This record gives sequence, C-alpha cells and structure tokens, in this order.
Amino acid sequence: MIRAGSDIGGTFTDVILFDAKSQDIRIAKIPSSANLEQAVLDGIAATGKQANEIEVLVHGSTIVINALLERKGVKTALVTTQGFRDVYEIGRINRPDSFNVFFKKHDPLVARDLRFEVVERMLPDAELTPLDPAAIELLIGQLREHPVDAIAIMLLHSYSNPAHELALKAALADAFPNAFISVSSELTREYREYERTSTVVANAYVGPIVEHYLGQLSDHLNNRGFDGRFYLMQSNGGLLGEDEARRNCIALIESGPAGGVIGTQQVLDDLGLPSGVAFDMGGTTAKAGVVEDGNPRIGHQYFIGSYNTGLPVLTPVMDIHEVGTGGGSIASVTAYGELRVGPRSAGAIPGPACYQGGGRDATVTDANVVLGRLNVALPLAGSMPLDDVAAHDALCENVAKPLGVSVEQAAAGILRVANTAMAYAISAVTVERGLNPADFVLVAYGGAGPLHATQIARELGINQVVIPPSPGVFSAYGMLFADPQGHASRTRITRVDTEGLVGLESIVDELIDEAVAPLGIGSGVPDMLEFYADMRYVGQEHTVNVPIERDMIRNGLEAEVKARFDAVHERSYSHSAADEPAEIVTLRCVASLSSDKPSFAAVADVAGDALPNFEAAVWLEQDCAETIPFYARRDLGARQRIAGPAVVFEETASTLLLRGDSAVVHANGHLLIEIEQADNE
Amino acid sequence: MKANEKLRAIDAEVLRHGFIAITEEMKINLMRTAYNMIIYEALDFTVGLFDAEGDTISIGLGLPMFIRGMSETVKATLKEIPIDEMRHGDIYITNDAYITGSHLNHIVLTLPLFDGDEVVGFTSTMAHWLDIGGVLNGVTRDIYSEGLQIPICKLFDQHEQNELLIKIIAQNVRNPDLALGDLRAQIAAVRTGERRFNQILERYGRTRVVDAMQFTMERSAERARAAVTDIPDGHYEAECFMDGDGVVDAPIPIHVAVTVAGDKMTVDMSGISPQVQGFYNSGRTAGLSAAQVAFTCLIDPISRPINDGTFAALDVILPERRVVSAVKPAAMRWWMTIPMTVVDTIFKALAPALPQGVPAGHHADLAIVDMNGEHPQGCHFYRCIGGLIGGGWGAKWNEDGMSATICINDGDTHNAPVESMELKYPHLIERHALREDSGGPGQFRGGLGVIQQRRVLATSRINAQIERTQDAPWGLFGGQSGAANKLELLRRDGSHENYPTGKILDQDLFEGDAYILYSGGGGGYGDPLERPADAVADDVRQGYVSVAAAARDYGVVIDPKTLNVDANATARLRHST
Repeated sequence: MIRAGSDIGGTFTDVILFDAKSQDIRIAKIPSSANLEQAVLDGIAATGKQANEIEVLVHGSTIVINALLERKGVKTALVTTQGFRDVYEIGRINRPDSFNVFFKKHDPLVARDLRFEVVERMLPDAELTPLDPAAIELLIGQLREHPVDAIAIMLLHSYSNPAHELALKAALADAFPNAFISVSSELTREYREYERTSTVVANAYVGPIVEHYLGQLSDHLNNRGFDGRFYLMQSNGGLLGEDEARRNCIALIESGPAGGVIGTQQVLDDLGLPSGVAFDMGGTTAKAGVVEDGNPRIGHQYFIGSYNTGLPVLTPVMDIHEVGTGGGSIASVTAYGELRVGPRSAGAIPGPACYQGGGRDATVTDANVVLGRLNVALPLAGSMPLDDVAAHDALCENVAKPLGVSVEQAAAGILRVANTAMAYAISAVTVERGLNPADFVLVAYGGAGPLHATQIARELGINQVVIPPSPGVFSAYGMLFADPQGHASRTRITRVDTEGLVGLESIVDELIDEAVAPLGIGSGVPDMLEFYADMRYVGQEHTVNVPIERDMIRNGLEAEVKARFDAVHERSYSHSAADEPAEIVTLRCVASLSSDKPSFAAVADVAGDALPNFEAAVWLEQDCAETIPFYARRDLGARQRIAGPAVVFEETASTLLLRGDSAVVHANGHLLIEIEQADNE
Repeated sequence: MKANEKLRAIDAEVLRHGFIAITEEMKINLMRTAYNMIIYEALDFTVGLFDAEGDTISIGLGLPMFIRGMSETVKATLKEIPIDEMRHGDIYITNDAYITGSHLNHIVLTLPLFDGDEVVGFTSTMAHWLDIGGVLNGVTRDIYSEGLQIPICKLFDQHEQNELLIKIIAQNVRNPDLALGDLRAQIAAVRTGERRFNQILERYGRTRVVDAMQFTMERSAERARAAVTDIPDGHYEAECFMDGDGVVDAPIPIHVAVTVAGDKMTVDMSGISPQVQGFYNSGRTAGLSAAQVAFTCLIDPISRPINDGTFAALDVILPERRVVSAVKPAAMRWWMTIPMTVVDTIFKALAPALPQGVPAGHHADLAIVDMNGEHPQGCHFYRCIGGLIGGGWGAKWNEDGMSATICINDGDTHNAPVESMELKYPHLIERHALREDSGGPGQFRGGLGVIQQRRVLATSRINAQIERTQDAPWGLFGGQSGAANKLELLRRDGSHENYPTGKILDQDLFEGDAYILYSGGGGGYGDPLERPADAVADDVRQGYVSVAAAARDYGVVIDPKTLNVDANATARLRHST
C-alpha cells in the first residue's frame, strides 16, 4: 500500500512515496514548472514508481495563493445587498503602517463597476425586505451587459439566514449556466460582512482556475492508471476530496505549511510528547507554528499577502507566524553603518552568491558557507555545488569591509542577527498565545532549519530539538499523516445559560451535516466529531476558541461550558471572571475520518559508535576555526549517539550540533538533540 | 578593545532586535491582559523603553499620537523623584493631563530599571481607562469636571503597593473592577519589560547594552539630519481653522511656521490659537507629539525602533497657553482632535519644500457619534460609540489618495462591522458606502470619504462632536479641496436637519429617525485639467466621480450613456477653462 504526498512550492516540487509494508520511502525533488500538474507526474515518475501503484495521493499546491497574489484569476462580479457594494472596498479602515503617508490599502479583486446591488434585506433574526424578483431581473440585465466568468454573492446577515443568497444563486445559475457562482453562506457562516465578502470573492475569482487544474491533473493521473483516492491538502491540515475542493477552493489557500505542522504533530506523537514548536526555515522566510496538547493551533482568518495590505479570508488555517529571514536573506550595511539581515532575499534566482547563479549579495547561506557549517564538499540538494570563494567575496565586499571586521566576524554576526530575529518570531507565536517557548521542543525542518535550530533553541531556553527524517521535504512528508476533514461554523450569539445552550441543539444537527458532507461518506458516521465555541464575556468584542462537548449543548450544561471558557480565558489572558456572564458567538464543528496512516520509516540498529564520514574545519566561535566531525545521516542507526560539536548531513539539509549538545537517533529516524543550556556569550 | 569597537555594529543590530522585542512583548502582554476594549481593540495605549534620562529607546505603538506622552512623563517623574531615591520594586503612576498632554483617562505607569543599585533606564505604559470619573455628557469647561487627577506618586514603594491610592481610585471611578483590572495589566506590562530587559542586561552587560542604545539613537539622528539636509532651506508657513470649541461659536485658527536650516528643522507653533473654553485643549506634550508625528512621517516613517535619536534634528517652538499647550485648568477631554489637524498643517507648510513627500489634506477627524438609550430587547441601557468610519486621505505627487481610512491620530484601529452593530444595538444601518464626488479633484484625485446612514429602532440620545466641517481637506499644487466632514439628521417624516459645525449636544433621536454621517474626502494634488481624460472616464465608470463633476472639475466631457470620453468636446472645454 503506497501513500504519496506531493507539495508544489515556488521553486521545487517535492514528491514523497511511502510503502508502509516494506517501509520503503522514495523522495523526488524536481524544479517546479509553469505546468504545475506536469511537475507532479514527473515527480512521481522520478521516484521510480508508477501512478497505478499509489493507493492514496495527497496533493498540496500553491495554485490558489499564486493566482490571488499574482492577480491571475478570472473576471468576477460581486452582488451585495443594496447600500453595501462598497463594503468590499472600504474594508476595516485600519492603517497598520501608521507613520507612512504613502500607505496602501487592500486592493479589491473586483472593481466597483462590477459590484452590483439587489433589493433585499435580512436582519440577524428576521427578514426585513423580501428578495425582489424585479431586482433579480434588473441584475441579470446588468450582468448581461458586463459579461463575467464568475459571480460572488454576499448578502447581509446570510450567516444567519442564507435563503436570499441561495434563491439568488439559483436564479443566476439559470441565467448564466457557464458562470462559476459562489455564495458566501456556502463557504462560511460567520458574521462580519467585509471578511465574508472578501472570502467569497477570492473563492469565485480562483474557482474556475482550480476546476481546470484539477480536471487536467485527474485526467493525467487516470491516463496513467491511477485509481486510488485523491485528496487535496487544506490550510488547516485536513484533507479534502476533489469535488469539495472545486467548490471551496479557498480552503486550499495555505496548504504547504500545513503539511509541516501535521508532520510535527506525528513526530511528537512518535516521541510521546504533547506539545512542540514547528519551525520551518526555507530560502526566504522562517515560519513557526504550535502543536499544543497533541493538536495544531488553528486560526480562522487568513490574509492574502500580509496583514497590512492583504485581503482577508475566513477559513480554518494553521496558526503560523512568519518572519522574513531565510537562507537567501540578504545582509547589508546601511549608509549609517548599521548591519541589516533581510527581509530582502536573493530568492532561488539568482540565489546566494555561493550558488554560482550570478548572485552578488551576501546571504545567510553564504555566511554558513564561509564558516564551514555548510561544507562545499556536500552539494546542496545532492547536486548543486557550492562556491565558497564567491560566498567569501560577497561577505567581504558587502559586510566585512564596510564594518571593518574580518569576513568570519561578519559571517558570525550575520548568523547572530538572523537567529535572534527568528527566535523572536517563535517567541511571538508562543507568548502571544499565553505559552512559554521554554516548555516546548523545537521540531526543525525546511532546507535551512536544521542548521540554525540549536542556536535558536539556546536563544529561547528550549532544551530539546528534534530533526525529523528528510527535513528538506518535510512538508510533503507531513501530508502522508493527514486525515480527511470537514468543518462547519455558525454565528449565533447565544447567552451561556441552559435555555440558550439547548436552543443551539438544532444548529448542532445542521453543523454536523455540513461538516460530514465533504467527507464523501454519504450518511455514514465520521470517526471523530469535535465541537468548538468562540466565546467571550458579555460586552467584549474579541472571542477565544473553547473546545466543548456535544452533550454540554444537548443537556444545557451551562456551568461546564462556562468553566471551560473561564479556564481558556485565564490561560490566554491571565484573568477570568467566574461571575461575569458569557456568550457564544460562533459554534464550530469538525468532522474527520481516521485513515490508515503510516508512521515514520523505521531505522535499523547499527552496532557500535557512530563513525564520522569526514572531518572539516568549522568556525564555531568568530575568532578561530576548529576541526569537527561530519556524519552522514543515512549511515546512522537507531540509538547511536553523537556529541557536539558536529555536523550531520543528508541530501536535503545539514544539522549543526554545538559544543555540549548531544544527539541520539530515534527508532523512527528522528534526531533528538539535547541542548546544553549555559552561558553562551 | 579595538576589536570590540569594530564589532559594535553587530552587537547593536542584535540588541536592536532585543529592544523592539521588549516593547512588542510589553504590548502583547498589555493587550492580552487589559480589561477594556479601548485598549485591546482600538489600541488606545502605548508601551516604551527609555534610557536613564527618559529619552525614548523603543516605543510599541498603539496610537501614533502617543509618541511623546510616556517620555515626557518619565522626565517629569525624574524631576519629582530624584534618581538616587528610586529603588528596586518602585512603580510610579500619574494621569496628570498637563504632563501627558491628553485627557485624564490616560494612566501612565513608570518602572525604573537597575544595574545593581544604579538606574539605567525605564519601562513605561500609557493606557486609556474607560472611565476616570467626572461628568458624563456635554462639553466640559475645566479639568475638575473631567474626573480624578493623580499626581506623580509611588504606586509601588519597593514592591509594596500603595493601598490608599488604590482605594482613592476605586472610590472615584464608575467601574472600579474594570479600572483596577486595567491597572493590573499595566503593572504586568512594565514588569514584563523589566524582566526581558534584565535578561538582556545579564547576558550582554551594561556597557554593551547602553552602547547599543546610543548606537541606535545616534544612527537615527544621523539618518534624520541627512534627510533634513536634503530639504531646501527656507521658511514655510501654513494655516487653517477648526470649527469651534463647542462653547463659543467662533473658528479656532491653526497657524504653523517651519524653518529648515541645514540639518535642523524648527516647527514654530506660536501662531496656533490660545487655549479655548470647551474641551478641545491638549497639553504641550500633545503639541510636541504633533510635530514629531509629522516629522517621523516625512523623515523616517519605516525605521524601527521609534526612538528619540530621530528628533535630534527637530526643534519645536511652542509657547504656553496655546490650544495644544494648554495649562491648568483647561478642559482636555476631546484632546485628540486638534493635534491631528496640526500634523496636516505642517505637511501643508512643507509642501513647497517636499512636493514628493507630503500628501494633500485628509479628513482629520475620528467623526465620533455617541448614542445611548434603552435597548428594547432585554430593556437595558446601551451605549454605542458610533462613527469611526474612516475618510479620505490626500493625493500625493504620484498617486491618488486612499479612500475610507482612519485619520492620522489613530493607526491600526478598525471600524465596527454592520452585522456586529445590528446584533448589539437597536440600529438599522441602511447604507455604508463610498461618498461619490468627495475626493478633491486634481491630477491625482483625493481619496473618497464614507457615508453611513443609521436609523434607530428605539428612541435614543445622540451626542456628536464632528470637526473640520468648515475648512475642507485642502488640495496641493492646483489640486482642489475634498468634501468636508458633515452630519445631518433624517427624521422619520423625511425632513432633514443640518448641523453646520457638526456638533449635536444631547438630543433625542426618535424611533425611525436616522443620522447620516459623511466623512470628508482627501484633497487633490496637481491641476485637475492635467488628469488624463481616460483616468477621469475610469473614475466615472467606477462611480467615484459623477458625469457632471467630470465636466465641472476636470473639463472632461463624458457621454452619460456609453461613459466614453467625448474627445472633441473635452478639448474645447479644457481649452476654454
């Protein structure tokens, strides 16, 4: 039984195949091409296996986010309640870049001349003005004058009562059978009109493109005899069937990072640990997510691009903090003698100077090469040779000379700055949520993560670092462990008392139906049903997400619900108010299937001590180099130990152990590193 | 030693991240633990790290206009409590409006940071409490009617809390639980800053930390001086006026003069109106903040941390008793309105010197409509701070102004969703739309203001203090004014009531009555006749500009049916204009 994961990134497409029976694992990393589906097929071919041998294929793709960021969606119209077509352009009026008078707002995907209004009006709990048939006719006439490929529908208070939205959809589907029509209430039933509008527009704008892409991909796969199950990776780490993905493609918006966090969850499970930080350092950014008590932290809003100027999307997504520091981050010295590292990046092209792709800037990767931590005898990704002279020259010219320090001092300085910046990013993702990073293990992956992990752990007071197998393709690897998942939400502001809770029972039934539908099991029963409530004290605006049990609603157990809420509030905000009344704002349901998943591939025992492959000079301090051992990870057996300083290398990454660190190989291949916490200055 | 000297820049960069992280963590901590929404939603607070003299090393904003408040309070504290009498575990408190420059709701806490027994810096927070006592409605005329005044004193004396002060606060504010909750959050924030600072101090040692502080400030100063040097020397002036103070029916003149000489900029506010009777006054700190906000915007808007090194290149002349340097017992409750127009006026003055650096005028008001009454569902008293709908920003030398964005006093402040307000209040919002034709015409058009029409479903009281309804957001270099802020009532019988200066004091809105709030558009930049006809036609197609305004303001004739440009008619009209 072969399970496959394929992760299309900006630079590379990673494919990973895992045969649970033989524990055979195959990895292919090939350059992404303009023809995305071709890269997947080529990747599978490169593993030496055939499509018809694959039983489950999980696919993560940047197609949705790229179409949105590059504004390459289809011509889309928006239909709103009369008086509110500008909500999409007005947005939330905030100006995060507070001192910049050249600030930019979000840029709508639909211009004003394609935003139409209809006469109708719902209130939160009643219909005020019926949907006017004459208004629908007028709208159809307007849309005939302005032909579009997709139509987004968003009417006020449709989270509560979607009747008008659905009637309008039916009428427009009759009139425009070829248009892709998306209505807000089919994607999210949460209140806040701007965010819901932005969500449905984004879904409509990319929908036809995703339909086409999935059609092509499944045709190709079918032609090659694939008859297994095909899933798409959602932003929250759950899997989605193809039909559902066509309708709700916005759920795929941030699928890449989700694979890594799901993989982290599996690593922690292997190790019997409840909580960890998922740390992914790549070429341009570093990302940090949190797994807490066995579950990834999920957020329910995502910004396309950035918080400052991005369009919001209401969809469940891994709660991830990102910082503009990666292997390609450029180090420079300002006109005033200040050292800066990032957020500018050399990217994949031209890439760091040492890639010999024409890059002249000094990058974090070049600093690692100068200090011997990335050894030039070990080509990157197994094939790309590194040029240490180019790295040396780039650092000398751009950093060492302007600062008047040695090249090695400059390199060490660049890494200190980069590690500090990344440590603060991890600190933010934990502290912001009321967690202490020192209580977590750091699971590090991505091409550059293992090289920096032990240094970052020291900054944060973290005692244990885990490097999973194949860290360079870990996001694809993590996809192998994901389960099919459906979710549903409903905003209905409800006081937490017996009457209020019991009154939610009918909504619970609807939520279950909606959450189970995408699983494709008909009227079957899901393996797991979870309920969450976004709750607040009466008078507050912000909510916290509280796990609750179905019985608590059915039986109106107000004290239990309130106590759960108080506890979550206490942990998140350091205070709670047992005597203050609380309310539920939004109720959420998650339905999932437990598929038959593999564990990480077992590693055989090897007798005796680990033997280094070679030794080489590495600068660990900025003033002198020393000769330290380099170990090939593929030669390491379970339970073998390595003492730092040392480097463990593999095809997709290198792991640096500092003095005092000690690593042991886990039976499933994880490298477990104990960090020596001492004065490291 | 020489090697260390050379490695200074590397240490400084590592520690710069540290200083920013200290104030970021204080900010997160305060937002997470504060009780009232004004702190954690409107971000009506600031936290900061200061050196031993009280100069700013890093500020975690908050509201931009809080840029000066804490530093001035730390400096005032140093005058009140000699530095050698400060002890471990002390925390000082005040809400002295003439020190913070703002209203009594702003409570400032200051904690001294030590290396051994020597003070090496301070952490501080300034946060808005929901209530500080005082009268509720109408326009106040002196500080005594605005609530409890706390002089600079010890909230903690060597770890021991001042219980008498706590009792005095609890006895003077309307919701003591909320206030004391916010106080605890502020205490936690300054102590979080202390903990993080001490970690850094322990790891790097005082010499390196203090040196990195100096390095950061020196570089900011150099950057600012270089930027000021690039501005042509000269004397630049501008003026405008506010509608009135809510007591006397007379405009309030705002005049600023800016002199640029070499690497120094001097902002002279002597020409700003004397302090007024109504509550529109603010203190000297707010006047200085207005100058520093304008300076930061023009000179170094992106660099972090925000620190006082930048202001080495700025002098401010601000005599006492101006409306932005008011002295006791001036009323201060609506302190925030006038300083943001001062910022815009400084931009206006510097337009000839920095034609590519300044935007045209913006709507410059929070446009708050305060409503309260009996909620028919549940029969409880409700209060709704309406308004906050954003407005138009001025056009710039290279692009149109932004529409529907919060004014310069605020930053990351959000509006309230229609769906959320209709759930909370007995209100029906009938229109929430861009205000067509409100953007000032120009080669680059000003951003559009917003219209919000809100009907009450149960009789309510309304108070409004809309400003800048008379002196519209100005254009630059031939660009014209945007539409001014405006408020009117729409009675259920269909009649309109207009309020020429936007001030409605404690009136009834009966069931079925509505208000219509119009926020101003931004000013235009450059001659509107220079705007390409196609760009005007696109504005008409988008409905930002009407067919009539296209002809009147831009000299562009648009066929109302096809919305295409009539090239011949346009040429004739543009030629004759």
